[in-house]
Amino acid sequence: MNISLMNSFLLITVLINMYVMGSNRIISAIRAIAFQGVLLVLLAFLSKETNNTEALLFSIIIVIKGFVMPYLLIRVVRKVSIDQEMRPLIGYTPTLLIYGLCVIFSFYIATTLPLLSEHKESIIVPIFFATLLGGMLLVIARQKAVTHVIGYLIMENAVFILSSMLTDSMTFLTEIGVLLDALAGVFIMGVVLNHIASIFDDEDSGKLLTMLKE
Amino acid sequence: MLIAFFIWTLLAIGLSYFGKTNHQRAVILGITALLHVSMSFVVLLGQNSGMDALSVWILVTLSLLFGGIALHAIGYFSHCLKDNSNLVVIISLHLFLFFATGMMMAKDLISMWIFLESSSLSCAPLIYYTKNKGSIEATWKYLFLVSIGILLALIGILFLAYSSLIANIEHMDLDFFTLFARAEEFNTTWFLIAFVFIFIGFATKIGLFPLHLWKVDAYSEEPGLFGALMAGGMTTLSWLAMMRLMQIMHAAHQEACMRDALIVFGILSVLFGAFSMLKQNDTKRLMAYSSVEQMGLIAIGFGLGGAGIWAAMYHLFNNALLKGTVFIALGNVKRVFGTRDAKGISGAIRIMPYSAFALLIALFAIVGTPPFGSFVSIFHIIQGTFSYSILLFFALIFGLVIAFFGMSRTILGVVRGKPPTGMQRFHERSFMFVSPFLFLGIVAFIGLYMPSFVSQVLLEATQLLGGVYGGF
Repeated sequence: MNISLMNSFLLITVLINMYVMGSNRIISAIRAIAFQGVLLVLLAFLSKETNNTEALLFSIIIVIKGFVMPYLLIRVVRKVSIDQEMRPLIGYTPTLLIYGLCVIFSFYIATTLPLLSEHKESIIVPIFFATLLGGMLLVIARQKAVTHVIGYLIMENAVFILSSMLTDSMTFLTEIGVLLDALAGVFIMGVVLNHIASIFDDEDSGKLLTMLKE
Repeated sequence: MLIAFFIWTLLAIGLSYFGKTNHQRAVILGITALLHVSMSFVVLLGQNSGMDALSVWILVTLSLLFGGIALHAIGYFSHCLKDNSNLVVIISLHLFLFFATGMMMAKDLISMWIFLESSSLSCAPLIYYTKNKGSIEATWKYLFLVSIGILLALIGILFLAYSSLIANIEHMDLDFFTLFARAEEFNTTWFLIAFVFIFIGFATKIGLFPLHLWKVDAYSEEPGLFGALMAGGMTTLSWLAMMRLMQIMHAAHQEACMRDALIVFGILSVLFGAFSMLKQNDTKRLMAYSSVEQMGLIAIGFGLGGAGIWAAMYHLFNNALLKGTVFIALGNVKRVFGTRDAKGISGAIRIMPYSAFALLIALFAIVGTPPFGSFVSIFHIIQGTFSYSILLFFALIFGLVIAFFGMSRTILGVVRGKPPTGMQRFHERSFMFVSPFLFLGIVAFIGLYMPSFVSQVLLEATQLLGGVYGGF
């Protein structure tokens, strides 16, 4: 896979982050993140030679990231939500502005760090930092528990970019680790969210799925 | 032997699935714990298990704590909570022990991380056991904050791999052996970035200030015996991960920055924990802040280096068992009085003498009264700060005194005084106080006389981190 194609994949990743920051609909944000996850898995898959086991692993990750997790989360949102808005703590435009600064900052850090020769041409390192910061920003800037999970998923995708930077040195175990993390963590979060949805009664539905006290 | 244990754990999970009553499942847990304790003693007595001294030390600590908790659980689930099915929590406890033991056996950073992540996830159902609004909120906080923390640790570990790639080191699987041998050659820039991420990740797991936010809710919402496991066991396990990081930093000759970080986080945790305890009336929240403070104390010990490492390692053991005592005793008090709020509890010594007595003794042990082992460990940490910096010494003493005031005000209020009117003396069953007294007995015994095979493992573990013997 040549560098320019890879770079355009990575640029789409950041554009998706920006879309999520600017959008006020939770379900479309979840779908966008699922698409981002699949995109990154494809990127990792195409950028190296794979054997059968690894191909199987990649397809499992695609199923989890692209279908299982969005399904779980969308189900939670549908189950409880009268209002499906994000409830920003920091407004949409300021979030986008801050994120723009984050992206510039990421490109700046990447120039100061020593990189492997194959990463000097591509923008994979700055995009990793930009995605990580994007996830953190979303966790801080939005109120609802579901949106926190979205932020967490973006951070998770950032980890995936990072692990695909390293695929030559440590392949199988790392990806199993990332897979486990993706699967178990978000799965349990989804289960807990479902419980939150059923425990809190209707009159709370305005506050539903927000982080409560403190 | 270890393999046999793993097979049994899987079998036990299956058995508890088919177990009909809470009692049966708790007994299965008891058998698992008994096996684990005997296994860890065989390992301690020198059977070659492939673990290093650090792992053995943590293994024994965790195993004793888990044994006591399982013993308590048998009575707890047979007499107190017959209705609320314990299937999920018993499976979670098994899984926790399984993953924790796996983590001690891990030979490389990534699998250690995987086991740490799995063991922390398997604790989530324990917090959610009571299934009310408070507990679900606590579960959510715990899950989310700890997941983010541990994700940062993973990013750090991957940075470490990147730093080895830049330094042109081939075939780097991040196994400890190669890591310790070649850490010096790593690219320093990436190595230090990796350190920051891993440190923050594990510090979240340990619950050092300001990353302790999940702790207070989680410990106070879950039943006492699970609080005992998390405050004593989970944190100890997380310290194992932190000690591995220390080993790596030591091998790379970069330990100076780690020590500074530990001391800064440590003293902040001690002071914050102490001041939060001062006005805390909720008994379990009080103990959660006490846990923050104790973690700070241990961090300072590790940060001091030399004999401080010995003392911190020793204090890990004492802290685990004492937190076990306190949380189980407070769980008993809560069950009888029906509240965690110290304002509604008084005269516990007349209502339930055994548990109240255990609580009182544990209070003295936690603040470091002789002859308990905690006296020796706290004393050496304080002594270490004196030669490190006089400012740190005074800050630490100040924090410990405040913590003592805060803790004794609430706990003595609970234990002493007149019981609420109309309350009869409660008949305590023996299961309610056996484990706390067992824990206290072990801590007192080891403070008076430490058998040579124990002190040998402690010393070896200390030396792995570059510390020296610190006893009297």
